Amino acid sequence: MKTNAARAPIAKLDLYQTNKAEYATPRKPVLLRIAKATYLGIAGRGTPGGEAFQQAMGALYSVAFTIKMASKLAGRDYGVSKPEGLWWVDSGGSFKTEPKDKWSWRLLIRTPDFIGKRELEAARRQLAEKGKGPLVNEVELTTLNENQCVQMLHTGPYDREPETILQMEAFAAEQGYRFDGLHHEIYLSDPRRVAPERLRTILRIPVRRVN
Amino acid sequence: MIQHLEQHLDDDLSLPELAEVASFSPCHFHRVFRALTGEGVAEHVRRLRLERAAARLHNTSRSVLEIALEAGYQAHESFTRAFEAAFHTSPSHYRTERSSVAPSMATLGDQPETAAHIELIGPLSVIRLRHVGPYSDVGQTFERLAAWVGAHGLFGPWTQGLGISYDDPEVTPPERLRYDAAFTVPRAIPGEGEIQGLDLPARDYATAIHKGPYSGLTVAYAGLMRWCCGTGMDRYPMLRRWSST
Repeated sequence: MKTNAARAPIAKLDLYQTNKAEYATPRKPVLLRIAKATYLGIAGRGTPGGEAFQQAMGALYSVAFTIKMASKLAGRDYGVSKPEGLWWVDSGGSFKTEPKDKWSWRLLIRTPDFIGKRELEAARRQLAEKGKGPLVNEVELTTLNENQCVQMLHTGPYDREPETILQMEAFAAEQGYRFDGLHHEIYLSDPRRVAPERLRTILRIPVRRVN
Repeated sequence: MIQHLEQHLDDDLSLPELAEVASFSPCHFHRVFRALTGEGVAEHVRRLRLERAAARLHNTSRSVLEIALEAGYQAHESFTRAFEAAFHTSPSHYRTERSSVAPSMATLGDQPETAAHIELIGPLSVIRLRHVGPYSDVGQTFERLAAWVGAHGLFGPWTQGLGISYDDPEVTPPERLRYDAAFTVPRAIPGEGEIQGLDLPARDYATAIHKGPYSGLTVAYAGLMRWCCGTGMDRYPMLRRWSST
């Protein structure tokens, strides 16, 4: 397989630069309109950071990097985005009432729009050839259409998010909105490397007008 | 084994010693080496030492005699002869020819992020795959390495793709350019066959950030080399080119 030398590589795409406003890290809640976006994602259930969670994260990264490398070779390089997560509780309960091992999540990595089913399937084949586990087949392409959202930077341990969320909820109410969508987090810090007090996480929750 | 040779380029490398490191008989080792690299052992060592000398002529202002001695030659004359045989020009002429076309640091751009500085990088564990040949073919090597890394679940938020180049493309002929495609890994990994782990100790690197198309890299790199010499760094740094993902 020859590299495509006929087409000069475009400078590497940085999704955080092209969508800067959406990755704002305000210390006070703000209202933002989030455009439709493509993600690679894998869904699961269980304690954040637990066994199933880590396996899923591993599969997600394997697929994300395999797709990125193929795209880079084809002349369209882009940076692999930081991980994100959508969170919910199936039973109809809340994060407050349900134990962590019952929490549902979809781990996400934002991906350029020019990545489609063909690229995903090529990556799966490549990983299967090397004997990678079945989990990679559960990584899917998802589109999120979050539209109007409240967004705020949360600093500190994940367990203190409820305080930040309360602030976001109060702000939303002031503006005439209420929460209407899945809790979405963008992990700016790697919890393995950064002390809990210094973790930076963007929290984003879709909202809609109160009638 | 090749790594051992590269790291010990300045030692008195003898065939029996090298063979021992590779656990072969000297005769067998020589045959295998030539089959793998297309060069005899002595030839390979001589070429690497001369190429490194050429790069030093080009990038530093140290005396030709000093560079000759470092390259393992006893005198100016023997070095000049060997150099002329390899490069078809005398060492001093090579130096003046090259210097006149070298760009200055000013061409690197005026953004503060591109400014050169010394940065402590490491310790780092990487997994790498050696590529020998023109840089334009490096893509395939990266693809093979990425497939292995992905299959072993070693991609994660820590991942950086790196290219480590060991030769100056202005000095070494394209078919002999050595380059490692590499990815950082969370801990030291043993690797498998040609895919090898490599642990890089913490050390100072002259660093600059180049933003823009790949075509501008050669100029940017040359500018950084000039800056190194301008700061009076007396130890010629091992030529490593990092491009991160």
